[in-house]
Parts: sequence; structure tokens; C-alpha cells
Amino acid sequence: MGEVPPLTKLYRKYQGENFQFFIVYAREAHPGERFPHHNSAEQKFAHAQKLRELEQIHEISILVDDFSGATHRAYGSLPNMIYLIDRDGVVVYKSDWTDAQEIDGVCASLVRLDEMKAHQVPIIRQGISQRLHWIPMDPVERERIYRRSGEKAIQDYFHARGSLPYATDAEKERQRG
Amino acid sequence: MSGYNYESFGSCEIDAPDFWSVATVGSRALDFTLPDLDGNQISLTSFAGKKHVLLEFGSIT
Repeated sequence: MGEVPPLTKLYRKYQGENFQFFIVYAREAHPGERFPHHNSAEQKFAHAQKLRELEQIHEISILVDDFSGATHRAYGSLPNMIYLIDRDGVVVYKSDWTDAQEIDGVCASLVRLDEMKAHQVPIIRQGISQRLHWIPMDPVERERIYRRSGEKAIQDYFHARGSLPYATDAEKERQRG
Repeated sequence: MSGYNYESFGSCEIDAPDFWSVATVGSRALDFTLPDLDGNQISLTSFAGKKHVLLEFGSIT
């Protein structure tokens, strides 16, 4: 996962505002020679420890999902999901991929809600929204993640998706070759 | 749960659930109890009434 730095920034901003951040370690999205798919709970736990080391995750706690991915599946099984659950236990935000700016806005709105409640604002309207959004991914960053998994991960990715509209020229060239 | 821990990316679609049909916005989040790396068992419900919780799902690869 390449989403740790923006998440850490948000963590530092909101941890004092009654927020608790967690990374939930799920299945390997792109298994490769170095980080193959999980074959035991122990290995999954060891991979989660390795994730902490590789991404230098020292502030945000990592939770390790069970071997069958019960929690990951209950929340939708995608590889890079973000959820915000308010203190009443209600899902207030869900997203695939990390849009730090948007998450910042949602966290800020929860802080505002707390303030409104504290000030006993008589009427608080609850809005709801849904949208698609597009986030550029640094090709170097993507290369870093796949490389550390292994050549298999890169090959599987190309075989799975065919010619990617958002592949870099170098990647397309390589796929043709 | 065969297929969950797939060996190769690309086989994951077979097991693909509908992201939008579960844990929907406005619904009560499903509780979980999972270990952290220090071995503490962490439950979502333990933050009820206290903290807003952000979850990011991820892996090494």
C-alpha cells in the first residue's frame, strides 16, 4: 500500500479530535515471489509485521484480519478501501482509494458536527453524497509496490487487465515486448 | 472460503463482492475484533460513544 504518508498526515491532524485510525491488513492484492498469497494465519501476521517495517508505520496501529478475510469481506473486499465510522457506529464515509483531501473534509465535518452538538444547534441537516473521483498515481510509486512483490505480480497484472488505458508508455512497451 | 487468498492477481474478480452493497453509508458498521501487532484484541464497539474510527484496508503489494 502506498497510501501511508497522506494517512499519517491526517492521523496527526485528527488524533487529538476524538478520532482513532487503523490500518486493517488484508490479503495480498498482488501476490509475487517475495510476498505470495497467505497460506496460514501465522504467515499473514508476519506479513503484517513486514508491512509495518516496509512502510515505516509507527503511529497508526495495524490490525490483522483473520485468515479467511472475514472483516475485509464484510466491508467489500476491495484492496484499498477507506471507511469512516462515527462514534455512534454508523458508516459515514466509504471510498475505494485514498483521497486525502476528501477524507480531510469528512473528518472536518465530523468535528463540526461535534461542535454543533456541543452548542446545541437546534436543527442539524444530514446530507448524503456519492461520487466517482479520479486520483493520479505516481508510476514510480506503482512500480515500487509491484517490484517489491516480484516479477510475477507485474505479469499477473498485465495478464489480468490486458492493455491498461492508464498504463505508462514504458509499461505498454514492455507488455508488447 | 476458497479463493479468498488468491495466488495471482486477476483471479480476484471471481471472488468480487459488490463494494456498494455492503457496509453502506448510513448503516451500522459491522463489528469486528482483530489483533493489533502487539497482540491486543481491538473491537470496533469499544470506541462506541467515544471516538470516530477510520479504517484503511491494505496490504504489502
